[in-house]
Amino acid sequence: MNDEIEDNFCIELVKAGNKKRDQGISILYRKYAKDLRRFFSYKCGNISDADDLVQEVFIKVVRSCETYRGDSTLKSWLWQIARNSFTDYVRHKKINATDQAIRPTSDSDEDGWEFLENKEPSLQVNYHETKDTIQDCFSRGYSNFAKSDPDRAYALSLLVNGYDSKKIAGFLNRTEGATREYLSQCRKKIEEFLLPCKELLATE
Amino acid sequence: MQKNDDQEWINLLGEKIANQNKTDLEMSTKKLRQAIKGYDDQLNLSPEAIELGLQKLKFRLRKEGLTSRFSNLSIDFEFKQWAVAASLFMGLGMLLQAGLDNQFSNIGQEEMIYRGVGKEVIQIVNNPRAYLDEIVSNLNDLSSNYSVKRLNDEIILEITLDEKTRSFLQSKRMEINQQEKTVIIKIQKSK
Repeated sequence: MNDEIEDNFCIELVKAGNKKRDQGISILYRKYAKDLRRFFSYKCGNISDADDLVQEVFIKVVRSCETYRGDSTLKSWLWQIARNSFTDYVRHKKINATDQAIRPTSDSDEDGWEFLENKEPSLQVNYHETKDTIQDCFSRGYSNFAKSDPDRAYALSLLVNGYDSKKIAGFLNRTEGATREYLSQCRKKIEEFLLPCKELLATE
Repeated sequence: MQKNDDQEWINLLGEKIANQNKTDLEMSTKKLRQAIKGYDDQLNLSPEAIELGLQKLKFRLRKEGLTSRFSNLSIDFEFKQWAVAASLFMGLGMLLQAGLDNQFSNIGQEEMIYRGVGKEVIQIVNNPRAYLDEIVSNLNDLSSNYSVKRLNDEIILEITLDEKTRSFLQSKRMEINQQEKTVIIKIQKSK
């Protein structure tokens, strides 16, 4: 079945409610959750928030399925919901951070800075502490790059995971030409993080 | 403006062209590719993780009343229908089995199984010898005339009937025609 036809069929199931809704949302989830999880994981820098956001997207799909009229593809609509959800998440984080910063949480945290130290564990590559290989260097370089520039790291992840520039363009909400240019910029950016690794590679 | 070198880098990273791992560009993109793969592995995008996420989503949808409980009940209902049918079927089977068991348990208690009425009565018992002894003992008490033969696995007891003997055999639930002067009881061992 054509992707778009399948999506429209699924959203009709979701609209129908009850058992059909269960079926429709299951198909959509199995189809899109993986890409959404990757997107949010890169954007948030941690998996638990990413999972919550993926769930939030599908809850919103169910809640607002009646408003979907098919003016855009379901995929675009779903990704729009995903981007909006992430914007809400960032806003919420900022508010929470401000809240905690101005209100000390305990006696030992009189300045209210403890929460900054106890951030959720972010994605980090496990390195061999005893032996720092060239591969470790590249892994660390990419991990730091992902923290510093999650959007570009996400684009590179899509590239490595077999998506062509047209599909990547869809995910990034850009034209294909702009996406190719963006990937070139990604190269320049990540080179800075990989500079020591390249020196190691040259001496090997 | 995109350089050709960039396009080659993109193609190598996306494995659109074969990586010979010879040039600096090839070697570094290979390492970077592995680094990205390793990072992505931590995201756990496996089908199992996705399925777990789906179960959590369904639970939340139910909790928030976005998929009605009826939808799940209907699944349960279908399941229950089958469960009830299976239970009835099994119950019926057990009743039948119990019936057969009772029948067989009668044999164990030396109850008689009649396969013939009239002159010949076949009795299937667990212990033919004990049964014969019991009958013979009673016949001796009644001073009845009888003879015992053995033919293969069968004990054949031929009894001359008089009133007392007839009454005794009837008390043992044997149906004997009033006109018969003799009766042959074939005692067989149950299998």
